[in-house]
Amino acid sequence: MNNPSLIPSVQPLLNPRQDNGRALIMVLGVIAFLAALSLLFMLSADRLKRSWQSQLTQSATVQLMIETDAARESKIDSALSILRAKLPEAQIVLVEKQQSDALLQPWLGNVALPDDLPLPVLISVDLFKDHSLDIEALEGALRADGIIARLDDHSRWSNQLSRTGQSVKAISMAVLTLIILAAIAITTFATQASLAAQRDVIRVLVQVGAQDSFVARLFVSQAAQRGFYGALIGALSALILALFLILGRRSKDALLPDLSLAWVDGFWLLVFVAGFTLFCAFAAYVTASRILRLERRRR
Amino acid sequence: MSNSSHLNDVVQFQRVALRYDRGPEVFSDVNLRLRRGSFTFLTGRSGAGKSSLLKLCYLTLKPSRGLINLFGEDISVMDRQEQQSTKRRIGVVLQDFRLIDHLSVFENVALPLRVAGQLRTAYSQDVTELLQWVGLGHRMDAMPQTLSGGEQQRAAIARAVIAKPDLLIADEPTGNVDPVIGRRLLRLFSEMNRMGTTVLIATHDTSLIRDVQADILRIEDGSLTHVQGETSDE
Repeated sequence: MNNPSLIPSVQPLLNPRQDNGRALIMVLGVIAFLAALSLLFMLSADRLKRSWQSQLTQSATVQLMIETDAARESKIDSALSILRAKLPEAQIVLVEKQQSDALLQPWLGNVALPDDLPLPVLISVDLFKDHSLDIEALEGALRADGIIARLDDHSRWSNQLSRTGQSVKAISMAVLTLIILAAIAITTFATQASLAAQRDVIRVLVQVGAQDSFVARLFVSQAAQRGFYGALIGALSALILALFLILGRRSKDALLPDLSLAWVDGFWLLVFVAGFTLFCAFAAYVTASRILRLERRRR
Repeated sequence: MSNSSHLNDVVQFQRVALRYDRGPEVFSDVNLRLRRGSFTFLTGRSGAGKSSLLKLCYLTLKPSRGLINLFGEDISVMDRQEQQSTKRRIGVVLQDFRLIDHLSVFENVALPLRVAGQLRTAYSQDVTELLQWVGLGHRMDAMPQTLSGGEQQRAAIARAVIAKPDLLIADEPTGNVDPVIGRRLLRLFSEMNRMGTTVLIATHDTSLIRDVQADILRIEDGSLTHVQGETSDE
């Protein structure tokens, strides 16, 4: 019998068939799926916000308020020269009339615009990374040359986007927290049910001298195992759904925003699986310890 | 009674009484001393309180009055951890066996060692040898519900003795086995007793009592009387 192959394998002390373990894993899987989806959405939305913000903060639009007269072209050239001189690190491009007219299309429709309509001339300024704009200085330099201009560094949009991003993040975090709390509540109820279902086993274990911590550890390990499988099922399902949604978005008429997945999301999903498992284990530990303590007092 | 004789007592009851909830006292003012290495039978008619007295000895019940010392320690001042450590020194065989249904015979017998933190490789041979000794070597992988009553009882006895307890308590241990197996189990108890284990057996099987040189206590009408041998009931 010293031959290890002849030694019967170690059997779990808690009866795995006694308390609907598979059903519980499925419920935890659904909960984990919602939580993981919420996490992926939060990560993706945050990435999108940062990308949009980066685009906005590294560009500006100059609106030249100039009359449609003979001096128009020379004023535009002059403005371009001043901007290029003041911002040698930026890419400065005059927005063609068709392009600026197209910007009005959402408001005015496909009507032909009259030539004498006093529309501002637009100049796009793309800054290289980490360069900033001194709006007042630029407007002053243009004004000194007799050009009335308005510079828009998109800060209003950027700030609004930042606030929206913060809100999305906060809502996602709140949803994630609520879902984790639901998982804790489910694990708590499941542990209570399991303790009741395994009463006979516990009675024998206590009789042969098992400490409360030993018995509690059995339930902790059971809950951790179920939490892990539930979290794994949920995280993988959420990942697959996210891939489907992202692939679907690539079609031309997709309504979904420009969400994406990154390798770092995989890391966060692993952290999520570990965290979900720990929360389930912790809930089981607290519940089992409390009930065993109450049982002891009752005796 | 000197201190040294106290220290030599495995079980000591002083004016112990027991009642369930608000019912009448099952027994009252029971005094009992089991000396280390003694072999004692507890007799009495059915319902006299034999099992209740044993439950006090293996810490499943608390007395409603009186003092109980186990291994020289007052159980009323023991915390939960100490109580559980004390229970590991006591092997118990109950009438209803209390085998765990989803564990094999091997796992059931190994339970006290597993609870004590021993590794499978360390206890595997002991469990196997003991199971062979009690005639269950061929049923190690069987589940309890597939065993006969006698086989279940032998498995329960094997579980009680596997950790070589200081005190072995058995409640009608031969009630479900044939006389041959019964004598064999009694030999196991005697063997353990010879190795230093204190044995306390509740039984109404008089043939069992005749086979072993032991102290005999009788519980009747709520009090304990000493019938034979050296065990004190004073």
